[in-house]
Amino acid sequence: MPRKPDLPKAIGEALIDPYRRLRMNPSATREQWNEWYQGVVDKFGKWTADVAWAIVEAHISQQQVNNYFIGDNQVPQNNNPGGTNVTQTAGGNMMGVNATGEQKFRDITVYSQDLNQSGATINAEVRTALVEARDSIEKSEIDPAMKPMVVEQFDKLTEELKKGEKKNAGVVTGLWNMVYGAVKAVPGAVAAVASLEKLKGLIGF
Amino acid sequence: MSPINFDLLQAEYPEYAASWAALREWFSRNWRKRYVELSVLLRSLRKLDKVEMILAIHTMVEMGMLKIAYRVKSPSGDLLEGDFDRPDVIPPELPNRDSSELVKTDESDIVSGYRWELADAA
Repeated sequence: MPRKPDLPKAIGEALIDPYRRLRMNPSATREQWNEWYQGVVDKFGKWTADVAWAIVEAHISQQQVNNYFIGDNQVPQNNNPGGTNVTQTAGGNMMGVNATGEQKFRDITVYSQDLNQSGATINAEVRTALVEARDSIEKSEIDPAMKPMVVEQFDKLTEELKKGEKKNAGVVTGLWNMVYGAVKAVPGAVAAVASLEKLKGLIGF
Repeated sequence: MSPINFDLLQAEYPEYAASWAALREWFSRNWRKRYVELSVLLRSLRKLDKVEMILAIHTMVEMGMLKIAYRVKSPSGDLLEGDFDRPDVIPPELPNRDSSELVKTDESDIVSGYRWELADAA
């Protein structure tokens, strides 16, 4: 058994996926959970997978998980002109916390610049649709408590799409379902739904 | 399985001291049982940090003092027969408590639990 100081990184990484992709998605299937469990076993071993499963089952908040497992692994990024302190965690997310402790997400300009560097794998039409969809989600009336998470999932969807033919279709579908499901449930997010519908056709759903 | 030995656990993993003290007391009160759900421990030991307690329990698993046993809880709340070493090997259907019908496991909850030998918990 690894000593306590050696645990956080592996378990923290193992937990990122269920928290961001599965637990927030009420329609996640048993197959998706099994796929995650097997993936954690393959990457970190059964012990870590069982601990991660127990932590998810115990409804321990993402904040607690971050505090316990991931906090020490955060690396400051100083390349965000939007003024938010952005941190890159082991799972590759791009979230920030402003001076009041409120969760913030990347500025649309930064998102767009980052996306434009992926010209080889995402064509211009899809890039435009992605930026429009993300912008409309940002401007929508989604509850402030939920919006950063939705945007974060959208950014992860973007990252997966940037992999081109190497993208994991299951991951894309899972992330899409979560984003689309969350946005569609908000009455005041009609424009965001419309932009997602447009994107949907372009990325082959 | 190895006997549950909280003195050994405390010596090897003093960082979980609070959990060992609470778990020692719980096991001393419930030594006749041979299985406990994670949710039961979480409810019984509310004062403990949940993450710490889970790590402590799984340390006992790693030390061979507990055996992890995933089980299926039917939509009506019954624990169905059958222990599973991992959640992804649970079959699509399991018989209900009186074996009168099959319960679809993908419509049920999978719960973590832990099993120990009767003599080990004394």
